Amino acid sequence: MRLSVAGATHVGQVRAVNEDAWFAGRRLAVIADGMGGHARGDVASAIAIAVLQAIDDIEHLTVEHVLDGVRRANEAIAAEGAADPIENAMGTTMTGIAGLTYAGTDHWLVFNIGDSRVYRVQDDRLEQLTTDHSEVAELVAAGRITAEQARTHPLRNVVTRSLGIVPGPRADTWIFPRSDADYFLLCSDGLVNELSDQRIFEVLATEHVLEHAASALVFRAVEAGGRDNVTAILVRGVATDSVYDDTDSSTAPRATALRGTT
Amino acid sequence: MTVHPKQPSWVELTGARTTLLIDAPQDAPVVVRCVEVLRADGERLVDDLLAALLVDGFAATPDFAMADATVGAVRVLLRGAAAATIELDGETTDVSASGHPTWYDVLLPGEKGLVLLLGADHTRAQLALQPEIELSEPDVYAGLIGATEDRARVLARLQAAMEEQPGAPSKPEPACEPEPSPAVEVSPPPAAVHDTATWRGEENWASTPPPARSSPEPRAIVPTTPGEGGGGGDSVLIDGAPWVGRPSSTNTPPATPTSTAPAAQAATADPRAPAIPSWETVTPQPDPTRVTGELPVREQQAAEPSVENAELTRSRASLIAAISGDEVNLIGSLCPLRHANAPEAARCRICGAEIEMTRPVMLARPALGHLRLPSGERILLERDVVLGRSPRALDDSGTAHLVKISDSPEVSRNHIRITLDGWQVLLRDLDTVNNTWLTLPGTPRLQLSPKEDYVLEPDSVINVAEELEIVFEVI
Repeated sequence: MRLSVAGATHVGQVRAVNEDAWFAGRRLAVIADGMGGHARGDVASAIAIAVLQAIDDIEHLTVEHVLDGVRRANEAIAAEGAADPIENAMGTTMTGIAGLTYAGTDHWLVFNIGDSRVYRVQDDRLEQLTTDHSEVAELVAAGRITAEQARTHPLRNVVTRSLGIVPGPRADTWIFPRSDADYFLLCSDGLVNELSDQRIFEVLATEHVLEHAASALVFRAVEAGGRDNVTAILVRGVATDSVYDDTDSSTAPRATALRGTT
Repeated sequence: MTVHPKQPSWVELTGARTTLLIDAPQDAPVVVRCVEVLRADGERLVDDLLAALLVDGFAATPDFAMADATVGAVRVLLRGAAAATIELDGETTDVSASGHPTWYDVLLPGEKGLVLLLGADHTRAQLALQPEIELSEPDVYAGLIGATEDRARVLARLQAAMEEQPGAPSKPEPACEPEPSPAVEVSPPPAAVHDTATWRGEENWASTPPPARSSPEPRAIVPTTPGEGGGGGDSVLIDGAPWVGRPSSTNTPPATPTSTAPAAQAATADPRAPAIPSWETVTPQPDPTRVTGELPVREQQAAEPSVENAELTRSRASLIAAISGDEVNLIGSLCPLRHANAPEAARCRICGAEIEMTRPVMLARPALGHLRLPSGERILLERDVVLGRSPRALDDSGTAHLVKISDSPEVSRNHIRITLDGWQVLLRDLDTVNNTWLTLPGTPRLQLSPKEDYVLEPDSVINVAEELEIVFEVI
């Protein structure tokens, strides 16, 4: 499997620095959102992306390669913080998707630390694949506020899991097989804080070229206020083998002749 | 909530709206207590933190500096060697704990500003208050805010470090990167150029903050402004790193050996550089096979959106699944080598060592083993897994991995399910056409009744539709 990708980022209308960083290559797409309040969040996110970017060159990418990359990114960020005690601490989210061979066939690995997101773009809506590691997500899960209230909650930028801390955080992972219709959106919270899922879906339903769609999403989010850095990556998986995809066909009963004597 | 050890002995704790410096090692009980209090984030957070700091009595209370932001005010508390610089609504005040035998404690009104906390040995931390437009409450965030312009320097150093590690994968030198220029010419990051050009027409809007939002921000939040120093140095540093290409203009020449992906990276890395357009839209890695394979489709899409729609509507039944953010915690026991085990285990499931009767502990559940496929590949069992020809999420398997194990039409789409239940690993046949068999060590093969759970023992063999055998192994 090879990825077909496009991404866009913008500093937004309020912040002075774009602390988001992203990479999308042949096997991997990743977003890192540097911590708003931490020193040099842009440095942290850039380190995270640089470490993960190197993984994109691995021919036979595995889940372990990706998780090891997340671990090394965390160590590099923590070391950078410790190496500079005056400027010190920094952190970043990391959310990504990798196309890899698992159990012999094409699978996706979605991984997440923090409150950037991966969505699956369905034919009628968006489906969020990642769970935010954030204060507001916990409040919503606990039933204390609604998802709508979460959008404007004062704590909406506070993440509960991030890179740059020792010991390193555990990444959420999810593995599932590739299918031809797969279409994913990766984004930083700057996008979803400005645009509703429905609005995002509408943009994706009208812009079919990946590059245009990614730019249009970011454009709309900045236009809507751009209170934070905004980043969006769109990903499709392209099969590189020519295996006939019959996954939708029904299961055939085992032929009697093949049953043998067992 | 974050914890950051400072050197030499101060530790910084950062909560949602509170920053704390404590003169204590990171693992000191007082620090652990404060972490718990910050995490709980109660109504009276400052009082709770004070209680946590003072619990051992005055004599044992470490020096500390604390800043807590509430709506329209900030409270600063300092003890011992701690000092602070408070900048609120344009006025700057220097305060210290000097002359305050217990601690210095002040509540200052202000909508906007910055508190710089100072410990001994140049340790410092900051708390910023930044009002957000269109919100009644100020958007408060806490943490360290320092120089941000050294991203390129750090990256260059990191890259050097990565290249020093022979084991670590590293980007090939640009010169070595196979990048046939025809492919790039066919599809020069086309959208990038196109989009940038489109929106450059609105460059005033795109590259400068609108007047309504351009009110002066606290100095430390904006260490540099666009075009104000730093940019030149950055570019030199970025160019010095071979893997970080820097677009000389918005239109990367086709012959440029650097790929567009690093270019995107560089653009992201230094958003303040005036030469870089605000819009960074790039198709990274113009892999020739992909570009040539996709180009006709792209043209069609542009001309005829319905083609793309057709592709979308082919989307199969939704894979309703969200990644769980929850770790499973269990009561367990630890062997002498600290492997996690079930509480009643007499011997370690990993190393076989005898486990003495000790107090059970709360543990994050480890992976309970793996499934070994005929290819030798292992599927780690750190959560539930559904396996089959084309697995998709079951109604009650929201967080299960979905693993395709076969293309054979005799294997059902969802064939078996592995469930982690406490310390047990359960196997279930998902009502399949061609069945599943289980061989527990030392027992005859057994055909599974559909939709019933069977407990797997180490080295159990699972036969899927007589097509493949999977072994459950613990080590």
